[in-house]
Amino acid sequence: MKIFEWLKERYDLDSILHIFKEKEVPVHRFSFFYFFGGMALFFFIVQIFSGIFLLIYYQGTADKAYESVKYIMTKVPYGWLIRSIHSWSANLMILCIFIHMFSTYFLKAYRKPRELTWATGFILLSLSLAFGFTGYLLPWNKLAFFATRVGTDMLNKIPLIGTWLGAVARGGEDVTGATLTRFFGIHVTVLPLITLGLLAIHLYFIQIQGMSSPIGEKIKGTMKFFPNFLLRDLLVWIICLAVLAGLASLFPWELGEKADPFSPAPAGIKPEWYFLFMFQALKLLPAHIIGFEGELIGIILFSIGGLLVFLVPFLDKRAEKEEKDPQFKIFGLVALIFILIMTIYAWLD
Amino acid sequence: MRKIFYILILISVPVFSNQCIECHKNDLNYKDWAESAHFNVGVDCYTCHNGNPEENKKEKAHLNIKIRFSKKEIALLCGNCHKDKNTIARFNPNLPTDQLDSYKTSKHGISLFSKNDENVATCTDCHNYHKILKVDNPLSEVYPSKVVQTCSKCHSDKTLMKKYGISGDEVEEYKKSVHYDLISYKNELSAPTCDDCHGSHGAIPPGVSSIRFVCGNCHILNQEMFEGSPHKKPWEENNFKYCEECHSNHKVLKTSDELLNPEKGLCLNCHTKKDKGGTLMVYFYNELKKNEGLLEENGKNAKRAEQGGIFMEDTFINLQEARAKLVKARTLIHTFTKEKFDETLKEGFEVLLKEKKVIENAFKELSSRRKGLGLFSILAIILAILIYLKIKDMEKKKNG
Repeated sequence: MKIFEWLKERYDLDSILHIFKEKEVPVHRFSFFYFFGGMALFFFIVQIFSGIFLLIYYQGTADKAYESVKYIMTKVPYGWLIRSIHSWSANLMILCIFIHMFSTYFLKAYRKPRELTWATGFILLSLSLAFGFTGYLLPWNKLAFFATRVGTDMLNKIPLIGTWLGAVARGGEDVTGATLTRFFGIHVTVLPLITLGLLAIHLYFIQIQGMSSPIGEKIKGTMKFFPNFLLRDLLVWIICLAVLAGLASLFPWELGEKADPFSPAPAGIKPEWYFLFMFQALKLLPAHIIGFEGELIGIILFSIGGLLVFLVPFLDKRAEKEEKDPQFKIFGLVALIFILIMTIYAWLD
Repeated sequence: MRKIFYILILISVPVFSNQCIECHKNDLNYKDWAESAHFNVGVDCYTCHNGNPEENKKEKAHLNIKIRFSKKEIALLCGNCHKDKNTIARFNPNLPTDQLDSYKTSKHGISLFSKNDENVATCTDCHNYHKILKVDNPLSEVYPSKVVQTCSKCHSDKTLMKKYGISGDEVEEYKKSVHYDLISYKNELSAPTCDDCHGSHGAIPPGVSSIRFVCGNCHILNQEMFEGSPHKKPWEENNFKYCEECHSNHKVLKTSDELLNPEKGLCLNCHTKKDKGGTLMVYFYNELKKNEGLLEENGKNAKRAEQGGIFMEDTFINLQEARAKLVKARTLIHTFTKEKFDETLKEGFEVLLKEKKVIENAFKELSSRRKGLGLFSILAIILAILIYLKIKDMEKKKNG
C-alpha cells in the first residue's frame, strides 16, 4: 500500500482507477461473448512471452531455421512445451478474434460511438492473420514452404501492384531464404510494434466507452467491471491456460520435414485453417470469368468484402439510430456460412 | 592514293565462302548440322558429300557430289575420321578411336560387312544423320536415358527381329525392370541401359558363361559371393545362366524379401520347402522379416517421439546403421550359407533391440510430460472453480 500511496502522490491515479471503479458491464443473454476479446488478449500475451523464449534459440536463415526449431524442441529444456504452446496459442488467438469480431458484428457493437474501436479491431484481425502467415513459414518445413509459395502467389494476382508486392513479400521471384529472413523480421518486430500500439488504442477505447448493449436486447442489469467482470475474465483465462496446456501436451505441434525448394510440391498442399475459406473459394472459381482471370476476380471480391466489413459502422445508418437492420444481419450470416462451408469443404477436399 | 591501295589489296585477297551454306541455309539438314557436334570443328557438308563449296553455280558446285550412301559406306565414312587419332585428338583428346574396329566385331558390323545386310544399324541409325550430338547432351539419342528408345527403333520390331532369332520383347521387358525405373524416372544415369551390358559399338549379347561378369561390373559383391557359394558347381554343371536364372535378363525386377517367400519363393523352382535349400530360404525369409518389421516399427516410433519433442537424432543414426546391416545381410544371401548372414543380421538386430529400449524410454518421458501437464490443467480448473465460488459468494453478500 505504501507503494500505491507513493505513486498516488506523484500521479493522478484516481482518474485512472475511477474508470475501472465506475465501469459497468451490461448483463444480457449474450454477455458471454464479451469474454472472447479478453481471451484473444490472453493468448496474445502468451504469444509475446513464448515468442521471446523461442527467439533466444531460433535462427531465421534457410540453412539453420529448421535445425534451430528441432533443437528447441528436443534439446532446450521445456522447448517442446514453449513451441507447442506458441503454435496452439496462435491458432486459439485467431479463433477467439474471429468469434469476437462476429459477435461484435451481430450485436452491432460497432455502431456510434464505437466506430473506431471496430476499425482498430478489424486491423488487429488483419495483423493477426499476418502474424499467422509470416510465423507459419518460420520452422522452414515442407508444408509451410509450399503453402507460403501458394499464399504469396495470390499476391502476384493483385492488379497493378501484385507483381511488385509479390516480389517484396518474397524478396525475389520465388520463396527462398530471403523470404524467410524478411518474414522473420516482420513477425518479430514490425507486426508486434504495430499490434501493441493498436491494441493499446483498442483497449483504451473500450475502457473509456465501456461495453455496448445489443439493440433491442433485454438488459437484465449491470455488473461492476471491477472486480466482478475482471474476476470472471480471470476465471476464463485460467480455463484457457488449462486448455492450452492440455492441447500442448496431448497434441504436440509437429515439425514435419525440412523444406526442400527443389523437391516437387506435396499433394494436397493447404494453408492454415484460417485461410482455407479463401483458398478453397479461389480454387473453385473457373479459370476465366468474362475474360478476366478467375483468381483475380476472387481476390477483388474478397477485397471488396473486407472493405465493406471495415466500413460497416459507417454503412449501417439504422444501427446508429438504435434500429435493427436485417440486411446487415443477412450479410453477416451469409459471410459466416460461406466461411464455415468453404473451410469444411477445404478440410475434407 | 593510299585508300585505293588498300582497296586493291582487299579485293586481291581470295575470300573463301561456303556456297553449300549459302544455298542450303534454309534446309532442315543444314539446321540439324548447325546444332551438331560437327558444326564449327571443320566437318562441313563437303567433308561427307564432296562437291565444290567454292563454286556458286549449282552444276559446278554439285560436281562429284554424293547424296545417297549405303550403310557400309556410312560406317566407313564416319570411321575414316573417327579412327584417326591425330584428327580426333585435335578436338577431343579423350574420345576413343576404336569405334569402327569395335563395330566390325559386333553382330551389327558382322552382318553388314560379311553379309551386306542393310537392315542392321550403322552409325547414323543411332547418332542421327546431320544432328549428331555429343553423348553427354541430354537431347542426344545416345544419352543414357534415351538409349533404350534408340535401340527399340529396331529391336521392338518383332517382324524384323524374327529374322535374327530375337523375340523383340526385350525392350518391353527391360522397361519393367528396376534398371529402367532408375534411369528413366529417378534420373540415375549410372543405372544400366542396353549398351552397358551389350556394348555400344561392339554390340554383342553376353553369353551364358559371361553374364555374371557383366552384372558383376556393378554388383561386385554379389558376384564374388556367388562365385564362392555352393551354387557355383551345380550352376556350371547344368549350364545355368548365372544371375539371369533368378533375376531374369532384361526384366530385372526390384528385389524384395518376397523372392524368398516360403510359399512361392524363387528357390522353390529347384528346391522343395523341406530340403536343405528350401529350409535355408525359409530361414532367410523369417529372419529378414523379423528385422525389417522391427526396423520399421522403431522408425515410426522414433519419428513419433521426435514429433513429441524428444531428441532422437542418435536413434535415427543407429537405425540407419541397422538398415545398412540388413541390406548387407540381403546381399549375403548370395553366399547361400547361414554363417555370414547370421553374423551381419545379428549385429543389426542388437542395434534394433537397443534402440527399441531408447524409444520406450522416450515414450515414458512423453507420458510423464502429459501427466505433468494434465495435473497442471486439473489444478488450473480447480483454481477456476474456486474463483467462480468466490465471485458467487461476493455477489451473494452484496445482494443479500
